[in-house]
Amino acid sequence: MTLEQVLMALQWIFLGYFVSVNAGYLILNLTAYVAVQRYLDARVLDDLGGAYSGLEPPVSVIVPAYNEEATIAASVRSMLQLDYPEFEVIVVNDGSRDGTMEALQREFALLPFPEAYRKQIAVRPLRGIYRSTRFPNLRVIDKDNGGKADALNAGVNATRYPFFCGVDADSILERASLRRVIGPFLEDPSVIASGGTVRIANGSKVRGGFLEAVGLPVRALPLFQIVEYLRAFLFGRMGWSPLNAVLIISGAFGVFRKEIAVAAGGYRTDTVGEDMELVVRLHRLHRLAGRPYRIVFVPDPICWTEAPESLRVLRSQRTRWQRGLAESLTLNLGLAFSCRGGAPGWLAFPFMLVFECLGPVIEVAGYVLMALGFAFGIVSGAAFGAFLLLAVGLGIALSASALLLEELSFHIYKRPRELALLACAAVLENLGYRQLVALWRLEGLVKWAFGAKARWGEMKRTAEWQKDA
Amino acid sequence: MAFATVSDPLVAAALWIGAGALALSAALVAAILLLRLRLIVRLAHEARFSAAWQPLLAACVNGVPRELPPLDEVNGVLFLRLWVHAQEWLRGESQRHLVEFAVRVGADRLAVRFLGSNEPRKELLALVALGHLRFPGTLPLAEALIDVESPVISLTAAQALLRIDAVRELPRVVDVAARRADWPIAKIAAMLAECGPDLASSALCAAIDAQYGQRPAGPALARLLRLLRTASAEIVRPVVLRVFEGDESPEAVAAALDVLWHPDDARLARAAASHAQWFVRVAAAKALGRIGTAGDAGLLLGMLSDQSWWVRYRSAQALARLPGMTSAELARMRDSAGDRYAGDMLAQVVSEMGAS
Repeated sequence: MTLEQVLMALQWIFLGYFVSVNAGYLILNLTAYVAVQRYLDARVLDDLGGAYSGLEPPVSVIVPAYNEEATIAASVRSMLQLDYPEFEVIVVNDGSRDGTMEALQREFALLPFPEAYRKQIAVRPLRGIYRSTRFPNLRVIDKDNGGKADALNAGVNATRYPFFCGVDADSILERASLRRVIGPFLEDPSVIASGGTVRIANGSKVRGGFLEAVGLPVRALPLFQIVEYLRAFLFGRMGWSPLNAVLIISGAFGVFRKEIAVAAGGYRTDTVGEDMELVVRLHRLHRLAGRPYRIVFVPDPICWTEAPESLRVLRSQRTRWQRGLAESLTLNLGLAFSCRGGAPGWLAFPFMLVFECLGPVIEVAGYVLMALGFAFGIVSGAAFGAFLLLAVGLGIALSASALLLEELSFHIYKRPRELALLACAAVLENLGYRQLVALWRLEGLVKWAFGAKARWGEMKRTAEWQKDA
Repeated sequence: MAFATVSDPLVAAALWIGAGALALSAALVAAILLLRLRLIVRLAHEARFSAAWQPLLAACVNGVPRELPPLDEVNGVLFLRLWVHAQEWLRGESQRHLVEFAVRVGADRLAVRFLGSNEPRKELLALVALGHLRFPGTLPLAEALIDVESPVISLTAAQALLRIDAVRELPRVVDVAARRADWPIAKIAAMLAECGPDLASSALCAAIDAQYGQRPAGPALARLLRLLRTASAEIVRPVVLRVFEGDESPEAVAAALDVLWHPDDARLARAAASHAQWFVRVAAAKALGRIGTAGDAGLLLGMLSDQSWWVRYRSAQALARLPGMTSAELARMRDSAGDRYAGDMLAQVVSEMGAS
């Protein structure tokens, strides 16, 4: 095969890839549109006194914490104020090296609690269990460092209630978030897990751990991430929900039926993508056993998180996410194309593998080879320009469709200026930012392939919004 | 060396698709702007509509206002939402004034039309409205929707039926509730509670009796037994006791144990304390905590060594609730417990008692 033929074949592969990945997302977008409309229709009675008011099952909220000294007290305080009839909060201090435990002791007047700890899932040794003398529904587990998954498992072991909700210590919740995310369990007894939409809080006003007013950040980096999150959650996940093929429930906020998660072995401690891995595993186990189940996604914006504002932290986050994705898929390869795989095995898994996991390889290779070809005179300016127009044009179209879906459903960015800013971000994020993220994702994939060690994702929180709390 | 030009099919395809994507993006942005404009106009209209109608609805506390503006069908959803809200807030005579208000502006006919709209939003609102209007003539309309696939619509239809004529419709609703696993127990319980314990008791007893007639009794029996918390404990006692006479499912036995209340029935809980299923033993321990006697301490102490954590936990809690039990006595039991699991569990429950 001559160089010319190789080049021609590669060009067709890149074209085919960019068109098919975007066509896939477009279909997801349409599915998400129908699903969101149905969801909003069913919620028409929500403000009529609450259809299930006071009848929701009790929930255990698990908050794993590692070096969260600066924000843990405010976060736990806000979680204790959730609008929900009966819940407990279990904070798991995973061997923090800073003053996280002292901050908890100080703020919540902790006393040692002689709990008959039930070790349903193996975890690293516990140092002690405490209960708050101020809040009867708050307990704190202090344990040796074992990673986020181990901390979550330690929390699951201590839960008293049939449902548990894993929440990141830095998550900012809506007061009604638990009520919203538990809704699907009340509607359908076969639901085993339910995840909520995570939005970016940078630029918003937060008081006492709760979101007070939605706003947009001034800096470009978090602004681009807002558009990214809209794409990822509104149609990246909502699109799969009607097919019962949601493969990701964000660790920032997700509810699981406890007995099901425990029977599956809890969170795996040897992956950085423990949240996604558990969901994919639950699909695999239920599909292969032929058990009826549903894993659902709630589109309401109920959980807010702080996005990285520096390239260094963002890079670390994205490489970690990509590794988590690769680990989650490879640990559950049995789901792909299995005879009982259904939509998760035949659609969602291959989609994630080809477009999300291996996508960065093709994407980066496409950009690099085309640029090199152009630089060395192998690819014409017309071909290079057409390639860029295709890649950027499809990217902008997808971001714009995510904005449209947001406008059709929740329209949380009220001011026209914010809408204009988001529209600009939807265009600009395709001119450099997206390519940079693809490069970091490729780096994550390489690190996964060479087996670099997994650890807690450390992020320096600015938590600017909490300063007036 | 090949040098692709615009005329090459590959380049031409990329150009066309890229240009198409940009055109699509522009169209999407235009659509977003139009939607935002529509939203602004709609919100302004809704604010004006509320400002005009809400005071009139609020005036129903004293009677129906003499002059009412005409209601356009295009504002039907807005009106019914406001009206249903007012129904949820007001009580007694005011609710009757609201019904008269709705009839005078033609909202009753509007609600009936909405039922055939095939739009879930309108159908749901219409069902809630018809439930509040309580016109017997609309019963067949709601009855037709109780068996539809959507649990939200069928449940709302059931609620409307009970509001219109609970005496007539309760048996039908309970019958459907027993069959439909997609109807949440909590929601059905709330609807039955609205009907009152006496009415709920007789309907549930009849439905449970019918289940005993079927052999083997299916999961419907356990579902119905779980609803008995909304009924009068005294009335339903005989049908609950029948569960222990036959060879019913463990789920049914556990549900029956959960509603035992008479001290004479503690013997049934004692017998279930050694059941093969852990959740039945949990229910037995809880029942002993409610109706057990000081003499049950020995049995509960033994249950503290159960292999299930939940049986141990509920048994320790039941021990703490037995008549005459004190913290000092529990602490003594904890210190003298031969089994480590029993001692740990008693320590936890003693600590919880101190915290509460």
